[in-house]
Amino acid sequence: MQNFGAASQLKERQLFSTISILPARFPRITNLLSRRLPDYQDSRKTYPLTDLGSDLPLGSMAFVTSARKSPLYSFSIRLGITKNVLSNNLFRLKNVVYTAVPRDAREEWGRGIPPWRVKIHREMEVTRVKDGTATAGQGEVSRPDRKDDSLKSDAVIILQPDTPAPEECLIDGNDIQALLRLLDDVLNLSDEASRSEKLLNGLCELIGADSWQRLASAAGPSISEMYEKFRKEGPGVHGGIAICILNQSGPVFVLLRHLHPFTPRELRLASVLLTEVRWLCTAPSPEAPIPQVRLSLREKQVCTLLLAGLDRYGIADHLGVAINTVSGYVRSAYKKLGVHSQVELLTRFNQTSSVIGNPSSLSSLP
Amino acid sequence: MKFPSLPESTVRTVVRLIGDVCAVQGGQTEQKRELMNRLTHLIGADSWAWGVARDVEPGEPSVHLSLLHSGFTEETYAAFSHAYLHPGMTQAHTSIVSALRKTGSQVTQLRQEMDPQRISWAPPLGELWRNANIEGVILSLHPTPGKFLNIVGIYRRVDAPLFNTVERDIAHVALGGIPSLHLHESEESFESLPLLSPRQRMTLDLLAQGYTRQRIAEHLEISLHTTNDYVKTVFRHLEVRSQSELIAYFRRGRRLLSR
Repeated sequence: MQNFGAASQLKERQLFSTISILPARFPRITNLLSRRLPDYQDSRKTYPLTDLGSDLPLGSMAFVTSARKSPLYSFSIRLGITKNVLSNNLFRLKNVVYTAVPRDAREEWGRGIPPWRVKIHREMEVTRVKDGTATAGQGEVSRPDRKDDSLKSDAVIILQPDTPAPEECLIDGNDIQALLRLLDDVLNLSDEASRSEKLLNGLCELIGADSWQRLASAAGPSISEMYEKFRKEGPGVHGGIAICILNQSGPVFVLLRHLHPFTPRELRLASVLLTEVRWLCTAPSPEAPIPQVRLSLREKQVCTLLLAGLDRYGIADHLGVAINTVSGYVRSAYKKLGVHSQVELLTRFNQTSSVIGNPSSLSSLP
Repeated sequence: MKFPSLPESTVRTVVRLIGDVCAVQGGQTEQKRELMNRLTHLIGADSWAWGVARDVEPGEPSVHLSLLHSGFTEETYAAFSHAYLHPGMTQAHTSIVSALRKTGSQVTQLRQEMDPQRISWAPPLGELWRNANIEGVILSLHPTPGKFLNIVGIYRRVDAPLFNTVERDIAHVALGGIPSLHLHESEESFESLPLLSPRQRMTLDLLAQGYTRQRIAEHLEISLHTTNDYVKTVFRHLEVRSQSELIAYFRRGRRLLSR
């Protein structure tokens, strides 16, 4: 686990770890602190933990402060934190990472470890899952002149106790190829459920996992509860358990392996795929939108054939109707669609499904 | 060309992009468009074109057909087709075609790598590319199991810097990572391409984009009669009877219904 710099000096005991946060963003913590320590606004002091007493409720904060010259405070969070505190704070932390990092700490972290990652590492310490592996989706890498939307992306953690956190590093070209190959395999699957299943099976094969599970929502048991559960019922003490949490309401993916824990490389590949492929965590797709233009069955058939490149004679032949009838359907369909020629129809509606339904309906024609 | 190792954040972005491409409904064409539009946004490009060509030897003129493109205006697209079909480009492409011959797999190069002698900047090519508002180029050649190549060009406007090797690597990985997008159902339809003259191929190119004969005549600066002749030759060549049939032919890659 990397050294988190000056903040780690504040560790009083192994049981406590520290996070730096803006008090304004964490009113509940700040309230608690100001009640316990009336002079805490003068924050240049370091308080021994014992001053706070040992009667703090589970999940509340013990407190050490060292504000330097920035409006920042360091807190030590008591172990056994409840899932509410975890979710309330963990998911808020990602929003403050850029404003909450003091300048000198930023320099320490400037060697390629994004601050949000450091934060999540600390949160993980808090959940007793020491030396886990944390990672988070970063959003799009964009040109510097474009607005960086990485702050909006959901927090993600994937963890397995006792595996050292990997440094931000290069991913080997062969691994990149293997990851993309998994996506290539599902490129032609339009059904979301079977696409997800195939992708997850492929991931298991790639990283050598025995099985995967998709749990409905992270809002259920806390990470440590989940972890204990799998420890007991799953692969046992010597196996690998990786839990990937995408956001508070999204699903939780669990990868399991008997006999060996996952390596940092395997966890990294799993986290890249599970956190960046966005449709993995969306609910089954809602019903297809109702087309704005309502064509009659015959008009649809005629349009499908026009999009297939047939002329009116060919269509008349195919449908077994007179050429004038076809012309009538074509006229009314063009009017509804607002096009004036077959070429215009072809260039406007290259995605046939968007107007007139799936082209595969052709095969069901008489 | 082997896949380069890339930083995790870059790999994440590419995986996200390709994940999104998988979710695009509507078939290969729409998936290609999504891939290319997102990729050009990601690496800060301005336009792209996806074409197909017969397998070539170094020093041979490349014969290709641009099937999909985006980011061009009518004027710049016309200038672009003049530029890429110019016979002088053969020499400028010698290095990338040799690299393809050597490895037999996907090759991606920057304009400055393909053309260290700056042939494509010198007259008469330089002006053609400037007219197309193209300065930076990433060209990726992807051989398919048949005797065909996919040629993907990613372009940046004249007043912007050239692409760098990081951007090239991202394009290489994103384009090469999903080989199924490079497979054509319609390889046989390209086999006869070299038999068309360059002007006829440009006509075919524009017909496939949905241009009317009048506009084709204007773009190629030829008379309507000459255009009609070209169009007829192209139709006969591909055994289609109308522009609609031609567009459908390239889009679906095969005739849907036998005649």
